[in-house]
Amino acid sequence: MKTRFIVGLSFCICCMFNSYLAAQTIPIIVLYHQKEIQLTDSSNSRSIQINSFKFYLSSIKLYNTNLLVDEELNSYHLIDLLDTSKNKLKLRRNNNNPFNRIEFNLGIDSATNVSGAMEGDLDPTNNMYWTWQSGYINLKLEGIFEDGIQREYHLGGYAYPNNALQKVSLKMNSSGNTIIYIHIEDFIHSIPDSIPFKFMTPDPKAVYLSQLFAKCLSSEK
Amino acid sequence: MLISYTKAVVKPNEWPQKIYQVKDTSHLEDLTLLGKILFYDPILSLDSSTSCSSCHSPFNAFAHTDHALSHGIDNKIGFRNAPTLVNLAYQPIYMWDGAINHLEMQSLAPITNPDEMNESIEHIVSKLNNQSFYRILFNNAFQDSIITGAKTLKAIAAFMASIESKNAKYDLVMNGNEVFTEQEKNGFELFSKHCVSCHTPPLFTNYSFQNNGLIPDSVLKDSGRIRQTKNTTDSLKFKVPTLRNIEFTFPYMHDGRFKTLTEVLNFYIGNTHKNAMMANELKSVTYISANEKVDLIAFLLTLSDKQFLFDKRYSYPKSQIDSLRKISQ
Repeated sequence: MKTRFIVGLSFCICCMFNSYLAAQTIPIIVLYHQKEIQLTDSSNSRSIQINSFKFYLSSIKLYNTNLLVDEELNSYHLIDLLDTSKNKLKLRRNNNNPFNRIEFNLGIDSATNVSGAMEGDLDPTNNMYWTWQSGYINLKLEGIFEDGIQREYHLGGYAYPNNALQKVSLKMNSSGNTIIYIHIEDFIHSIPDSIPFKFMTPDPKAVYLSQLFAKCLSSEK
Repeated sequence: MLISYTKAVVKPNEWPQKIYQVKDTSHLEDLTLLGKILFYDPILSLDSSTSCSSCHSPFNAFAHTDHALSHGIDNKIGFRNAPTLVNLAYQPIYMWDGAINHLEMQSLAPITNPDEMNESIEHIVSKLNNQSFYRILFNNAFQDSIITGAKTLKAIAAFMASIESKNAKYDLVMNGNEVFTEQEKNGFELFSKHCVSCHTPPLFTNYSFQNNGLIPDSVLKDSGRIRQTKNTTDSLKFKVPTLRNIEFTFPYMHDGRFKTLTEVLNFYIGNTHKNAMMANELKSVTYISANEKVDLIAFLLTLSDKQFLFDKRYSYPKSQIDSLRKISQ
């Protein structure tokens, strides 16, 4: 009876501080002009058409203020926003400690890029590996936006000085909803004219575009 | 005249550490067999017409003798000369321009190249998963019959890493079991003086990227290493190839422009295109006589490893395939 009481009390305390803390899954939502875009629903009429939107999130770390409370080692998540089974970040928690900040890498680290064939989300059958030059594609975005132009951005590169990996840190709100938003129009509108609409080269421009994209991630709508 | 004099020390019989090693060796024999069967199977190409061995045949020291550029499906012609696949486990980086950073990822390049095999790894995995023959082979190699892209690539890499040539006359001489003829000995001295800084024994390459003064082909317009690094100092640089079994790996150079070793030597003797990015060792030239040229070629022929060419460990595993097919039916 006493044990049940303690377990119940612990659960209530967790819920009281932050109701989202037990969540293992973080939805990832694309916003276009502040409106949510349902990429998995092809029947929706939209001013934009996204045909492919995939990226890697890796090295997930969870903080409570500045204290590291949980960490995924050797974790690589392939997010595919057009696939309902892969359009969320599924955290593998080691504990239920509360967190209010999440840190992750957008892309695949250099060491993994030079370590040969990998299984699971890193398997080359996922179409996120360049075959003409070794290296993972950190982010793949293909579609037609308001200007009607077909755009294809395959961003990657792991070798100095063109390492496109981006470290992202997001403060998570305490409202009970933990969501990562992608403000996609901020990315598209920031791309300089000097970068081709079909861009797939691991070079300084890829690093720049990766930095732009990282800035479009937010926990705020 | 030939390339510049170098005082590089020859250490002929000191093999370096292997760079690539199969991590899990518990079923290495089965893994290598699977890789060998995949290497010889045209299922890796889109129309099942072209295998790895189409451009890398064992009796040509795993090169594509007599073809300047690699051949692909639908009679397509590739961009570069198919190199010999030998002692790859010692190699730090792959392809003529160093595009591939790991042996396990190397086969993806020809598999997906539209002018070569024009296939995707996901489609290959799908085709392999549909064959009980391959499910048995993968189960033997990985203790798991589920076929993935990573497993497929690891198996091919295991076979490629097993291909070793270390038993040429040169090796026998260095081990004290044979002697050079006078001509070969003279050729070895010339080689040690003029060629060894890049074609360093025992691998007969230092795997560096060098601009050797070839004028770029006007059709191919191949700029070499700079395609990967975007660094102007890498313009027209290509990986130094091994000279092992060079007797059988003609034609020579990244674009296969020279059919004979004599043509190669004649190029280096006064016919290089001098440029700022050219290898320092090639900027000045030294005279060698016609007889010395013959002696040098005589030495190069001592790098032929006939035992390697006909080694059953590397040849098409017909009997093993036949018996495995029967089991899988």
